[in-house]
Amino acid sequence: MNTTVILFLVLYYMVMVGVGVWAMRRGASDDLEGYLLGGRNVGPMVTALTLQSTSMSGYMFLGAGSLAYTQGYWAFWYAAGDIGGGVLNLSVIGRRMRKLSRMMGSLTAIEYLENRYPSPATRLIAASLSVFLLSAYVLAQFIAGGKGMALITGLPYSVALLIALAVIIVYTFLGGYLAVAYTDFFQSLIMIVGVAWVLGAALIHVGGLSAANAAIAEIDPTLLSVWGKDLGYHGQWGIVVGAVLVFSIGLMGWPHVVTRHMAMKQPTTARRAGAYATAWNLLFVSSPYLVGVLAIIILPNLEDPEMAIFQVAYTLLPAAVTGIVMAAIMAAIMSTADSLLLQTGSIASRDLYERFINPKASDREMVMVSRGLVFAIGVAGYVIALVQPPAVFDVVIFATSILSSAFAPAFVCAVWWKKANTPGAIASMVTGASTSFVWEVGNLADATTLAPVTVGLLASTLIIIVVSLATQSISPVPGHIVAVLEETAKVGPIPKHLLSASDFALSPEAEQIESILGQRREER
Amino acid sequence: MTRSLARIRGSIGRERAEMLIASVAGGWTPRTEACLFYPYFWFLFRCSTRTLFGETGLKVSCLIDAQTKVGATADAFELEHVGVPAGDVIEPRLDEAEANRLAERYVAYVVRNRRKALVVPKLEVLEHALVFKPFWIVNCTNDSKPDFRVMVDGITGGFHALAPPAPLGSFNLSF
Amino acid sequence: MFGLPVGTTLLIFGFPVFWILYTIGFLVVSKHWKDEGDQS
Repeated sequence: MNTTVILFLVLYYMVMVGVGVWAMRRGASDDLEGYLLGGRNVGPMVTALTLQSTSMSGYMFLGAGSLAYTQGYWAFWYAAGDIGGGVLNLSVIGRRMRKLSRMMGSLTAIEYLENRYPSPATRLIAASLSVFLLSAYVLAQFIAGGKGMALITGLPYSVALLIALAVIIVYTFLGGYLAVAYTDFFQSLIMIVGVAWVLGAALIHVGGLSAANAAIAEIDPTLLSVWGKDLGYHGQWGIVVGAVLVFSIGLMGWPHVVTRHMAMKQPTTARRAGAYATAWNLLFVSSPYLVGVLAIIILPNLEDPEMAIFQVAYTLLPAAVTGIVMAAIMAAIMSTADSLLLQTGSIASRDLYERFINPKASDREMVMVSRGLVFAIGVAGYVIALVQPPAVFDVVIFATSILSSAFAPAFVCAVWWKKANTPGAIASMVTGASTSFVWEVGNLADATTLAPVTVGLLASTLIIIVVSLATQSISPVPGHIVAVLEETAKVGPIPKHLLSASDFALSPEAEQIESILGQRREER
Repeated sequence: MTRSLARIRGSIGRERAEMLIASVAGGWTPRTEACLFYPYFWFLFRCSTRTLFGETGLKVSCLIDAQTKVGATADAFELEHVGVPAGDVIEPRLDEAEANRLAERYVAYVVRNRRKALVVPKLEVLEHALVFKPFWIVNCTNDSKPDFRVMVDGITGGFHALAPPAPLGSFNLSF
Repeated sequence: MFGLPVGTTLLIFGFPVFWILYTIGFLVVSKHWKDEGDQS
């Protein structure tokens, strides 16, 4: 393999680790964590600034590229929703979820669901689904990491995959010097430059977009249409809707994404984050799809469509640049995998093990459970990725379709509909998950021209409405939750201005003080 | 009867609390009725985790709400020992041993978040105490509307409306 | 545009325009959102 590429890649990692060590040493010994006194530090696994890390992942580089390479501009239906997913999520549930989660004292998105829809069943179902589906999502990252590593090093896939997995797992167990703010920022910068460079180089190489499209028309004009190769998806609106939905509305059902709302330091963070999300997505969501399309002419006979984007980078960029950019991409993929594994491990240990098996679990025990699961996922992932690797695109759509179908109505109704109750939520999660699962596994999309997420979301939305209304009297929503949602009922003639500027992290103390004042009044 | 306790020193006094409320409740007259002292168990930990390059140490200050058991990390603060009316003091509902256990769990969780890794930090208690945060109870009156009360955090200035007291003799359900 | 059929052009540019408008709309509508308390 190209030694310059490897040299620069290694150099890059050394610099990153160096920066990480330096940052850690600097901030290390007498650090007093800076959070405001009495403020509720509701800190879920992912901090609020990891906008980039989950979008720069295996899907982006392998999945999106391969879809565009094989189906042409049809792939942009997926970009269509993806561009707006961030701002949609933040604008619709961001601020409200933050407020509700603080008032209920929830630490994770799964705990939040149980607090809002009280029942052990809520937690059990939500946690189990999440662990299973996030594991599938991680699998996509493993495959991407393995293939990328194989390309860079020239090692056979089985070995490269093992290395990628080992790095990811060690990273997850020991933590990273790569997990420091400086390196995150620097890495994102490199990715931005890298992606722009690849796109730019590709466009120049093909002589501009118009020329490229003319060349594609020579090969196969249907690739220029919105219906895919050979107009295969012509008129299949059920699939089209699914493509747009899964990364937009569906995104509101992904626990590892909505969990970020809970970490927002201020309600106004949602506004800024929404603006950034759109700006970022406008630039970077479409790019991989476009590069994939251009690859049709640049590399017309690719054996593995998933390697489209990587191969374009290898072919067009100078070796040193390729080394650095590939390094940044691999780091991003591993970071995404690490994030997902941490969350999955945390859900397994808190929301399953501690909640249902051993409530008196010590911290060490819970970490062991998390590590055990991460290791198990690694092993299972290795076997699957080696023996029968699914396409990254397929496995990501599988995981996200079911996540969307199962959870989106539950998360949205949690903050928008005060009649959404526990039976409704449970029924919705079960229906959404099972419908989309059956549709996926049974390949019913082909027969019905309805995407699994289209059917799943429809079903779960319908069910939460029907069941909640039907069971209102036997299982009403708890009073204190209704009060939060209504913002006024509990407290009477409070000026709106005061309410909106209130610190809801003080809600637990407020409740205590209310009852104590009530007792004092009685004593007089 | 006075009770002596360790109070967290805060910058929000009686007048400032009323001013804060006045600025968000135009047309209402705020008047401080009382100052209650809310209990927290405070622990200062040294956390060390093993890394490839040796041990890293971190000091974390943690407060456990002595009524609701909720944990939070804290900025540096100063304590002053004062005597206050015993009736204004909210007593803790936990004992220190349980608070310690909760604090260790919470801090470990926070450290793991920061490190983004499944590490088990070694925790050593450097200091600990039962501390109290002052909350001002401000009553707001208005000619045309019924009164309402707000509590103001004496350290951060954050405020939160308080539900009207239940009618005398009724059963007060709180979650 | 760029030698693409009308439908494709709409797909590639239409949705981004929609989301830009949506984001602007969101920023306008949420102008009154306040930060909490007096936290520095």
